Amino acid sequence: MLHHQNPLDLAFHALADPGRRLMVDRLSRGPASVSELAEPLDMSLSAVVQHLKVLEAGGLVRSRKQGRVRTCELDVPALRQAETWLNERRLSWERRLDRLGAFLAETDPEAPR
Amino acid sequence: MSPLHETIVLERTYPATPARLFAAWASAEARLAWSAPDGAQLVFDEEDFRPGGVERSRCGPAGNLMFALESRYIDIRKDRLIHWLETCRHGETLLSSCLLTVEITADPASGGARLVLTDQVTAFDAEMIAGNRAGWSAVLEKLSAWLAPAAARA
Repeated sequence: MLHHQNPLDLAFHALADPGRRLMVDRLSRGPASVSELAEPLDMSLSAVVQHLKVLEAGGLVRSRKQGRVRTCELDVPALRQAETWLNERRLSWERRLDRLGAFLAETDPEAPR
Repeated sequence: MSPLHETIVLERTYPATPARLFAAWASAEARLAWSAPDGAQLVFDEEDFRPGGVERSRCGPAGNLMFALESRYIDIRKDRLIHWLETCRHGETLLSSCLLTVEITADPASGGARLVLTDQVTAFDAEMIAGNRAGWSAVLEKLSAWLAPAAARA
């Protein structure tokens, strides 16, 4: 079992398998239950569940259980958080201004060497 | 989607003279030392730090400098103020346009200098930017490239 830490690695790993790509293809047309996902694939339900875990770890798909049915859908809305970008821009400036402070300290002509 | 607007204001006090603080912004070499965003690479292609001057740089993850930045200095007052417009493009697409103001004043209480940075952001395609930042767009491109023929088959 590979241990991918980077979200991008996890996503690519999730897409690296033809079966999982078929599942994503199916979900791009709308949410589906695990058995609906399994139906067109030559796969056992437990294999589909395993693939689903990889897709979820890759941040591409999310699922929720209602009663005995697990419904899966593409996790696209998660990408639509504009606030993420604005927060990241703020954080980026904060870190840069911190580094500016470090830079000023390192280049201080009056600092004891 | 409609553009997003946001104003980010940050304040810092540094144990440095206003002149040294200003110099850290005025020199592209100095800026390179501290201003590359986290985990990103920054390359200056054109430097022109003066009112009316235009600077061009590229940034992005190391080895993939996908964002083209253009800084157009509107006003520069030595040791006191830098005011510029920064646009960020991905290919032909304008992602964000930001009006930035850096104000520098002496801080008598600490004997250092105080900096106020005001970033007035207009983000045109924040989804794409957020996606790109997280490295998502590559995934989605791959995904859509794969889905396109699949959709054609259907």
